[in-house]
Amino acid sequence: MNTTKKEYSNVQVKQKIRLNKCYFLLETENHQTSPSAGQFYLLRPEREQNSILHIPVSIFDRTENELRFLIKIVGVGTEALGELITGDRLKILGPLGNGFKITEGKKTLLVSGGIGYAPLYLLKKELMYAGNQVVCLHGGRTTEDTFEADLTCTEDGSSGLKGMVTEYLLKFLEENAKSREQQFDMIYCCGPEKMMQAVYLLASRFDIPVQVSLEEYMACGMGVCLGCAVKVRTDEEKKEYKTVCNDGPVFPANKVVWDE
Amino acid sequence: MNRLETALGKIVLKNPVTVASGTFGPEYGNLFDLNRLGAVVTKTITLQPKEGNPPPRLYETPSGLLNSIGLQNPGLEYFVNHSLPQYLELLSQDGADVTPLIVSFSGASISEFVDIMIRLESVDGIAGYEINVSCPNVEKEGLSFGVDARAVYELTKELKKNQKSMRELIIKLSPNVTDIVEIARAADEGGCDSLALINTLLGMAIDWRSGKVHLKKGFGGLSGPAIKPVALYNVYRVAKAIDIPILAMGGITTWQDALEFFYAGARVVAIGTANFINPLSTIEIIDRLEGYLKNNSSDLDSLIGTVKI
Repeated sequence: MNTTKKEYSNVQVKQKIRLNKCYFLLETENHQTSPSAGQFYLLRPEREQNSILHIPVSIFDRTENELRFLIKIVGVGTEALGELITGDRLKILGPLGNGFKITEGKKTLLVSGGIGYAPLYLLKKELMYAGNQVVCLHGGRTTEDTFEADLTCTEDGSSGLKGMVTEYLLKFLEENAKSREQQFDMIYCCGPEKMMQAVYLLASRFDIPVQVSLEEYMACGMGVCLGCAVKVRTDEEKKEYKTVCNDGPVFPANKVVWDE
Repeated sequence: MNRLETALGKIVLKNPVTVASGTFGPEYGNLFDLNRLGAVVTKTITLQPKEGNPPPRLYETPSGLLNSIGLQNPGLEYFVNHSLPQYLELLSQDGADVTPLIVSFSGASISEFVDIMIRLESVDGIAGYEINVSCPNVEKEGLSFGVDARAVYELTKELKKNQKSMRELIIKLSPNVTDIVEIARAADEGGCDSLALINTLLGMAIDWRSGKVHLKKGFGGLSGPAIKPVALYNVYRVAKAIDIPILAMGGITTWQDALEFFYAGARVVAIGTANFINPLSTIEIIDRLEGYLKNNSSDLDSLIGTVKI
C-alpha cells in the first residue's frame, strides 16, 4: 500500500487557454504538491453536480505555485473542465500514481500520439535536468493534434510529415542502429494503446527498453476500487491485474500484456 | 451526549456512517483518520485469490456507475496476514474509542463460506461478518445464492451453527430478486443478526456508435444516486416486515440521503460510490448529520423507522 499522505483540495483556476477546438491548457493553484512527470491528478469542477467520476489528468507542467494540465475534450467530463474560467474552483486529488523512471546521462527518445504529448512535456524537462539527451517524435491525426517536437507528423498530412509516428520511428531507429553510440538507451511513450504497442514492438527489435503511460476508466485513483485494471506480467512471469492508478500509470512496456 | 451513537445488533457505533464493501480500503487513511467512521467494511474476500474480470470494468451512466470488478482480491490468507494487520494499525481498538471492522466475504458453496468464517474466527480484531451472497452457487448450477431464499436460509443456518464468537453476522441482500422480503425472512429465520441492503442492481451499457458493450464482461452492478430510490424502498419494506437491525446502502451521497434511510428504518448507513464523487463524503456526512440533529435538539435513535406515510 502506498502510504503517502494525500490531500483532497479545492483550488482556484488561474487561467484556461484554448489551443484549438479540442485542446486546452488549464492552469490552477498548486497547494504544495510536487508531482513528477507521468503522475496524475483527479479533477472535478466544484460546481459539477451530476457526474460521478473525477477526470484523471496527467501533469503537463508545474511551478511551485501552479499546476498545468493539457487536456483534450473527449467526453462530457473533459468538456466540463473545458468550460472552466479564471476564478472557478476545482476539486483536486493528487499527485497520484507512479511517474516515469528518469535515466541519467543517457540518450532518450520520446514518442507521443495526440493527447499522449501531455505527460512527456514535463518529462522532457526532467530528463534534460538529469543530463540526458532528448529527442521528441510526435504524431497526430490532423494539425490540431500536433505539438512542438523534433519531428512531427500527421495522418492526413495537414502539418509536418505525412503518416504515422511509428513509420518515422522505425526509420529513426534503423538509422541510429548503425552505430552503438547513436542508439537510444530508453524510449518513453504515451498515446493510443495500439500506437504504444507498436512502439514497444519496434523498440524490442533494437533492444531498447520502453516506458509507457497507460489510461483506463478510473474511480478512486488510489488503488482501492480496482476499476482501472491492466494485465501485466509479474517478476515470476505470472500474469495478473494491476491498477493503472496506483501501480501505474507508467509501466515498463515489456511487462504489459498487450493483447488481452 | 453523543447524538449520533447507534448500534447494529451487538456492534456499538459512535456514529451511524460506515462504508460500502468494495469502495473503500485502508488507502483512504492517507486522506483522513479512519477512526472518524462509525465502522469500516472491507472489500469482499474469497477463499482463494480472485483475478477479477477483464477491463474495462467501469462505465459511468447518468447518476450511476456500472462496475464489473469480479471480486478481485488476494484471497483469505493474504487478507489475514497482510490486509487485516494493516487495518488494525489504523483503527483504534481501545476500549472507549473503538472503530469496529466488519469483514465482507463470499464463497462458491456453503462449505466454502463456513471455511472462511472458521479461519476468521481464529484471528482478533473483527467485529462482524458481512456475507456477500451475490455470487454464483456452484452447488446450484451457478445460480446466485442471493436470489434463492432456500440457499440463503441454509447458508445462514450453517454459518450460525459454526460460529463460536459473538461477532455480528450480517447477510447482505441483493435487490435483483422478485421479493426481497422473502430473502430477508430466510436470512432472519436462518439466524442472522442483522441485514445489509442493497447490493448493486444488474445493468449494462452499449455504445450506440459501435454496438459494442462498454463493460468487457457485458454487464455489471449499478450503484450511485441512480439506485437510491430502489434502495430506500427495499429498506423500508424489509424494516416494516422484520424486526432486525438494518445496515443500508445504495446511492447515499449526502447527509440528507442518510436521514431518509434512517426514517425508512436503517440503523447504520454505508457510503459507497459517493466515496468516488468526493473521497471525504463520509466525514462530511457525519459532521452535517450531527449539526442537523443538534439544531433540532434531536438524536438519531428517536427518528429511526419513523417515516410518515
